[in-house]
Amino acid sequence: MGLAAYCGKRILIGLAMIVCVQVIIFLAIQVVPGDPVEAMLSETAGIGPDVVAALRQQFGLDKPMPVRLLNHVIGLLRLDFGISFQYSQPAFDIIASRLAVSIELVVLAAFFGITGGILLGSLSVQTRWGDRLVSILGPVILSVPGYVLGSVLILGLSLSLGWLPAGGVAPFSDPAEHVRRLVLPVVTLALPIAATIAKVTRFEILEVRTQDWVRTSRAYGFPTRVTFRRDILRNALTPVLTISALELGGLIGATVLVEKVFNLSGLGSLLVSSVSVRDYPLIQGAVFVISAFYIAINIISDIMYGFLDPRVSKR
Amino acid sequence: MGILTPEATAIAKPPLLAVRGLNIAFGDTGIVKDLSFDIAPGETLAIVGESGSGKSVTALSLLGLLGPRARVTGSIAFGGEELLPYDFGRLTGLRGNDVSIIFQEPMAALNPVYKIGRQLGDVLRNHLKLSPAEARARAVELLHKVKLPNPEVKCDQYPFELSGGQLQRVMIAMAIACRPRLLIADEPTTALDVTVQARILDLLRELQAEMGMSILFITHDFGVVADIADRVLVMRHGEKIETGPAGDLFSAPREDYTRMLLSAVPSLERRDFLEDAPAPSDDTTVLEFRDVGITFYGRRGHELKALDGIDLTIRRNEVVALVGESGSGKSTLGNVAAGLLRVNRGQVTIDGRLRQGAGTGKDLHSPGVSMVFQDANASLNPRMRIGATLRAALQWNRRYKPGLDCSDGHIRHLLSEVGLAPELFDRFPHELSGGQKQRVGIARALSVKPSLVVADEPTSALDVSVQKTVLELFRKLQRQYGFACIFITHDLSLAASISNRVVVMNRGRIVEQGPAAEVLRNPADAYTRALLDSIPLPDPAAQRARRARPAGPGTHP
Repeated sequence: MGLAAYCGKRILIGLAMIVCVQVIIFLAIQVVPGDPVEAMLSETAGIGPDVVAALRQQFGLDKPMPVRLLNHVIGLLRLDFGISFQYSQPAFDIIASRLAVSIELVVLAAFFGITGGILLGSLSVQTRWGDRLVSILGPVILSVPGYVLGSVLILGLSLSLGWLPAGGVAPFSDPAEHVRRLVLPVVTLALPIAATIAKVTRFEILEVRTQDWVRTSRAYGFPTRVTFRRDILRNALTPVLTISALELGGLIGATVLVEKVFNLSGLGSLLVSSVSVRDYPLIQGAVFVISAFYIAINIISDIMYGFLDPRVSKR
Repeated sequence: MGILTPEATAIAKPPLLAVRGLNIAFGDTGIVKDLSFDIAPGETLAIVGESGSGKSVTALSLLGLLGPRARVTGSIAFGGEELLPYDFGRLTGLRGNDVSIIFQEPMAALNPVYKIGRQLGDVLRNHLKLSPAEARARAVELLHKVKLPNPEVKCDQYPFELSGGQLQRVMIAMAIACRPRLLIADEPTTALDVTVQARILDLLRELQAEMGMSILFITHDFGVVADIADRVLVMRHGEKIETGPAGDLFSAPREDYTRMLLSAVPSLERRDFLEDAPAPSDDTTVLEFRDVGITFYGRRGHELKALDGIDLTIRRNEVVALVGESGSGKSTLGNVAAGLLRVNRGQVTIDGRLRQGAGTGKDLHSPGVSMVFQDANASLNPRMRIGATLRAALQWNRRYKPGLDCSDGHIRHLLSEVGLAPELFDRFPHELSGGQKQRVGIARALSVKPSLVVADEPTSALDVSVQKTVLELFRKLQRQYGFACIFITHDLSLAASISNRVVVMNRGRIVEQGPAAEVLRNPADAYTRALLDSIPLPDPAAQRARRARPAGPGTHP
């Protein structure tokens, strides 16, 4: 099978999966008790049933469930999630405005987390201090919840030392400040990724190191660093890729707590607030983006798998 | 191997490699003790020994490949230069350059993620200053030299796309890339079929004649020794037992251990046939295959006929040896008999009941069939004590044979029947030796009183001396209980020594069958002849005579 055909097939399966996720979420929301109109009006007293009915009609909630599901799926195809109940704006626009922050955070955290993890994992096999760093600091970082880690970083680097701002976003028009404000949240997200990747890398290197071809490499007089890069690390990367994809896939919607700590408004916090007021269009839109991201990461990792291991793609 | 006899060569020139008082220890355990030997330029020295003799460790120590835990002392002088204590900077210049090495498992010895040409090119560029294009050209040239078919195409293929024999040629190309003065070959043909082995040995001999390098050949196989060695060093438990020119050692071994090893090699020349075995007196048919076929379907419509129209009948008391090379379908046939594979066509009848074919149900399992596996270690659950393993088999089979005795006493009796101490009942598999584990495997197979035993290469992972005792046990039990047996093996001499009938398979078909003595003495089929001719004779003179003969028409397709 050619690469193009392979990718095409994977993308089609991915699209089908996104639709499945949407249907499941749609049904799940219906099952959860609570009504968006009542949730919206709970703060206001003395509203008559006619107002409630009018609102329900406006949001299209009066139609039977199968019709709403169909409308929703048709809307998806046009990337139209409907009008947000709470903001009275198209849900798509709101999500788009929040997505930039989230994507920036996740991509940077992924990049530094994965490269840092591979580097640390390699060092941990080669040097004593690297081993200590990974085997002692790794579990510490992984056992501390993200928001605590973030708070500690703010306390140390921002409040005590004053090196970096504690939170918020700066516009792209001020690149220096933009980057300065991103440093702490990115570090907070990247550290646990790096810890996990370092551990996996270390384990895989120790595994690959015992393989016969590594002995061949040494037996043919290759310098240690060539053997390490060409015959150990390169082969160890395949499982590292799998773990990286798993780590990253779910990250885009899971940054809520870090967003809270650093006062950022990303996709995660949008999703949480939408769930609490039952803003169906926003929930479904956000879930759409998150599942699409997850599936895209998986497709990319599967394709890269083929490049890393010829036995996969050539069969 | 020039005009001079090896002995004369050794006197004429100083040795290329001189090892004196070599001691190798891992922690407190001495693996090699006070070993000394020489290799003259152009000479082939074979180190022979069973597992644990320290032969491979000795080979690896020459290049400092044993890792940091090994303590290597004594003297290793190569080309007059002392290598001990190791100077790894200097060794790096030597490895793959003046001294190169080939290994037992060519598939594992090459990195699976790089193309053949790249791996070969890397070796060239590591020691010679070449551009990538020059390296590639040289790589193709080398692959030509080791007679790999289609070198230009193979260059751009990955190791998993080549066969074991082809990969070993690639390894040899890698080894001769920088024209070494010494080639270490660590069991290079053990994982290969006999016909492939014969051609790899031919290749090594030709290359040696052309390039004049010395070869240190590590092996456990006396046939291979007879085929390739000028001189032989026999090792046991890390010590030298004896050494001498190959001819003398085979014709007049001085030490008991060497004699024992030589006599343990099953030999066709020694008429080591099972002639005293009574012909099966009982006419009960245990297994009947009628026109059995299995086809495996791969991608892109690729088809593999693993079994193609097999007709086979086995009676009680009969041992049938299935022989053939890897891929011949012999294990597939065994698996069908054991009810592990579904056939595409034909009928399988076991103990008079139709098991596969039109009108049979989904269940393939035949209660009357047991298996003995090749890898005794992998076929025993490492977390279960020996007694529990045997009891599990008995308990499971009680649903078919309620009369089976599961008591501890009976299990201990089973252990003693296969020559194991009843105390092993409470041991774990890792506490047993390879031979003991295979005895447990036999006890497990026989405990359920089978009418048919499928033994799939049960001794090929064992040392020859152990193999001999396990085979004797198997033969004794077979006579005692009279079960029918399919004995799968790649070793024709072994087949002759254990079976009443030999069935030769090639590409999913039976090419020839008949009484062992007849098939092996007067093979009717060209493929059988090719197989027989490929087995190196454990006698240097006979082997040399055979090699001098022009190749017969019975070459492998």
